[in-house]
Amino acid sequence: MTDARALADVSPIDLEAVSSRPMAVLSVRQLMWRKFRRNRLAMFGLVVLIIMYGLAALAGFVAPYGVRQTHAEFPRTAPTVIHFVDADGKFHWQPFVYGMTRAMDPKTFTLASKEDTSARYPIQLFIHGTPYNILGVLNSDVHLFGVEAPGKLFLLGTDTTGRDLFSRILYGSQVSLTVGLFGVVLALVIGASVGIVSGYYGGWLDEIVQRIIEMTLAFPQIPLWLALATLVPPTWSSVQVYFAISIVLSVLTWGALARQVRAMVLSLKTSDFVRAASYANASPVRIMYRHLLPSTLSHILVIATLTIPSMIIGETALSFLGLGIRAPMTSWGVLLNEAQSVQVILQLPWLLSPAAFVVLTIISFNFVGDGMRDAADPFSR
Amino acid sequence: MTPPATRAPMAGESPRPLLAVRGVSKHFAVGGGIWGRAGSVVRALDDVSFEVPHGITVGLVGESGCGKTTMGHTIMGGLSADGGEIVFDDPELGPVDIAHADSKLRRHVRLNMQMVFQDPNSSLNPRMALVDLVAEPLVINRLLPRAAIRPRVAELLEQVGLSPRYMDRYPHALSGGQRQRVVMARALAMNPKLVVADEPISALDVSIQAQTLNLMKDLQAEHRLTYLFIAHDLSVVNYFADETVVMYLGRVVETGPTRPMFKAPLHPYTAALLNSVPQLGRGKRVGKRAPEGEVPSAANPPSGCHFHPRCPYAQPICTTDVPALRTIAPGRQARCHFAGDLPLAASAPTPTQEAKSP
Amino acid sequence: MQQAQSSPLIAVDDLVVEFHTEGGVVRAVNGVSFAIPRGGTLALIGESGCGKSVTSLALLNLVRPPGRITGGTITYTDAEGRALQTTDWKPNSERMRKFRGADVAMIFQEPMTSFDPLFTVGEQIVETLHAHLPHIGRGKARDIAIEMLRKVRLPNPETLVDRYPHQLSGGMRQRVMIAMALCCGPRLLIADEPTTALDVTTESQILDLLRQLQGEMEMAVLFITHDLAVASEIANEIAVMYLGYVVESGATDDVLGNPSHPYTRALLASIPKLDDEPGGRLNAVRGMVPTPDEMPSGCPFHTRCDAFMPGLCDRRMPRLYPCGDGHQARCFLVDPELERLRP
Repeated sequence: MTDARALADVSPIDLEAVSSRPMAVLSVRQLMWRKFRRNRLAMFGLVVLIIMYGLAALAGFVAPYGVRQTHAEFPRTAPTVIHFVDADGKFHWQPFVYGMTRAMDPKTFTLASKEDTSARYPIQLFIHGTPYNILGVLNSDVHLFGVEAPGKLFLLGTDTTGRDLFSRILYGSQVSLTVGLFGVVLALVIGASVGIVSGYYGGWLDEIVQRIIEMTLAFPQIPLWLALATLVPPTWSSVQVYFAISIVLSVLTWGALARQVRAMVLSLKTSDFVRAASYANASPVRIMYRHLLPSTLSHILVIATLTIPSMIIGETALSFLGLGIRAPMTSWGVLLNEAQSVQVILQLPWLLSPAAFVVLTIISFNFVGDGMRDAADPFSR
Repeated sequence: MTPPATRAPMAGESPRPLLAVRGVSKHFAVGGGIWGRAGSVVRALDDVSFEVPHGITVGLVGESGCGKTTMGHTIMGGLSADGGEIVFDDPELGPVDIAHADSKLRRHVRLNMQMVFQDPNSSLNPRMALVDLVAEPLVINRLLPRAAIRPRVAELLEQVGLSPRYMDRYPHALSGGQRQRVVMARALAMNPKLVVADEPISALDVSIQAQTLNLMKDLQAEHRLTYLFIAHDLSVVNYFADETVVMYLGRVVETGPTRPMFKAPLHPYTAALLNSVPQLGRGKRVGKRAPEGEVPSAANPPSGCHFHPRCPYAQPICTTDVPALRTIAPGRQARCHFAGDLPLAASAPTPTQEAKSP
Repeated sequence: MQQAQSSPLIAVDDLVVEFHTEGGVVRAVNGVSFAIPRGGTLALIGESGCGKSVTSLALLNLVRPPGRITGGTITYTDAEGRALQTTDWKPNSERMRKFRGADVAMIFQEPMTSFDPLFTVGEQIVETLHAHLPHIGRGKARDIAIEMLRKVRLPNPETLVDRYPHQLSGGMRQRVMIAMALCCGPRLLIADEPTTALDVTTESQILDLLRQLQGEMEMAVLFITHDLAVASEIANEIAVMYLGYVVESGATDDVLGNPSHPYTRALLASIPKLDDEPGGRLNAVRGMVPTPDEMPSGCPFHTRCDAFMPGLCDRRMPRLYPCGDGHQARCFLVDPELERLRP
């Protein structure tokens, strides 16, 4: 038997031999995406997040007013009502708002705003307004929508100094949605590296690392964050404070990620394909990078996605307490800072609306994270 | 072992064995407290010795707990032997003791030794394309320039009967038998001299097993491979292996050319194994064919000869003295005090337990 | 099937089981018919994808969505001689649950995963007893459990009854599983690859045990396996399955001594046997088992068949044609009308 090609048993070594079903042709990553797509909640979450990050990037364009722009005549103003039908009962296709006047309410002796039906301001698209720039690159003064001066469009009302809350929420989302991401990426890189190395080598290195992780996990999270936040020098610029807060947030979360990664590596390192690589003279670095990391990557991403909500809450909490992001930067937590007293909440309930955005974001991240976890093993049912 | 009775060395081949395992021991500590107190010791390998001549197939058989898989991994270097030596006849360096080799030497020797694992599903990284899987040994050892890799992979895939058109697909697209072919293509990538095959067909469908065995035989002829074929299925070993080594609880109990051994075994365990194998055409099972008792725990093996509690021929000396692996006939060894004197030929009836002396 | 004086214990007629997957409807079992003789052993032989395990689940009405029994009947003849259609009973009805466990019991391939690791072996046997004899007392149940362990030839049943599954070896766990299955005195034992995961000496012991118990308890056995040699040693009758069809059935000696279907012939020729002379090539079966969504047209085996007749075998599905007393094969080669059909 000298001709190994006399493999007559294998009828034919050609197309029929290997399936061409879609499942067979795609890579594992593509299969994961398909499975994710079928999960409606996860897709909903994903769409919401894409919209939110899109709005954050284009905050200047979408927001009717600037982040620090005050309307001195209209502090503590309720959200502007948008009308389609005017005082005469006529229907207009283009929604509009009425002008507002401030007058002393004889009954309560407080300044209250009232609609002035004589002045009608239609809501226009692509209107010129306060100049802004997008991501530091694009300068413009065209806003997506707005009303001409002196009309005011306060979609979510104004705060105690007369700043439009809706615009500030959009600008604030830039910080809230990214400081968590940065912290998670940091935690991910540190946690995954530590987990893989510790799990692969085992022995005393693993023991020491595990004890360190256990110590970090034993710390109560919020008090530690508060303590670290107070250490940030008051003289730092708001950008430096931003990065400092990110680091603070990631300090405690890398440990949990490292432990989970280590657990996965412990079971993977005895599997046959890792053994086969080591019998082919693969170095430990190659095994860790080429075999262990890709096998754990999908799970790492799931864990990371599910950690982002707690980062967002962490930043929100810190800023809410005045220890987080500093002016001139703003975040949802900073905005909620103003909603600290019960009196304020009773009189100006719209100041709580940033919380709704926080909740929506967190729910969406959770849906996406769950969807990713289900999709991470595309071969299970 | 003396040169095999079945085949003389081919022209240009060395009369030295390709692999000589001499007195290899390996033990694992099990249990024990956190302060390092010794728990029980499992002697996975106990004074194991056998030889693998060039160009043939040696079967390593035994049941679970006998140490055959441990032996395979110890030869490959995944586990380190605690005693004895493993001498590999390297084409460039001559006989080398790989049990005591440093990592540089071991890396060199590994270019000539490859392993085929049992489960093709777990021995291929599901996230790597077939071309990357097969090429990995070449890439790691920098044996070929980058441009030459894909053509080489195509060549290897064709040799195992898979179309190179599927190089960029992933393992989940293939059936079990096809995956095992990919595993073999990978094993051949470095032109090894020795292939350690650990139960390569056990996880495959019955109708595919024969194809895979034929493929392995073809590859052996084409590439002058030597196989160490680890298996538990004696019918397959009878077909595939020129010589066989039988292990029980970490010890070698019998070695010799396969067919004569299976016709007339020298060790009672070998006879018991042969008798237990279900056979076509033997007719419906009547009467007992199985040996008594269970395989003992490896952590607490019986004293003297490990097999004595289940052996129908056991005598008092079997409980106290460990028999040595003796040469009973040319090319045949057995670890039994009474090897050669027992009526163990395949047609002889097994004595009942009452025949055992107290 | 052999002409039994009395009707068979279980008669399966044209059973069809379908699975609704994203890729479409897959017929795991395609019109399968066989009969299990009273007190005898039928071996169901096939490889992965042939539908043998699904068939055994269908017998116990344990096929869960996305699978469903969509056709055929399963007739069980009880102790009083009444013929009952188990397919008429709802899967979770009282009648069905009594059937499972009391009339029919099942043992599986993996003894480790079939046990709950948190309970002792005795407790698990008692649990089975309680499911079918709810009024039995604790002490009596434990005595029965010990008695069952003794019946399966386990040493020291009084101490073994308090052991946990992980403390026993694979062979012992399989015996305990047999004890659990037999504790309610079933008339049929379904054994789904019970020895595949065991060493050959342990396998031999379990096969001996099953044979003895079958005699003692007058029980029928449906033995599912892929191993023709095991089937030849333990079964009176054999049914060979391929891709959801029965392709050959009959008495063991007939099917294995005079195989009439090309698949059976090819399988027999390809298996290495212990008394073969070594060397040479094995007569391998060509090609690969098609995946469920690549079902061949016409005869399911034609893509790998040495006797393939183009124009016939890929167009039409052969029926089961008789080729001996009680021996039949699903192949045009055995069709008495072959010459007329040959294209």
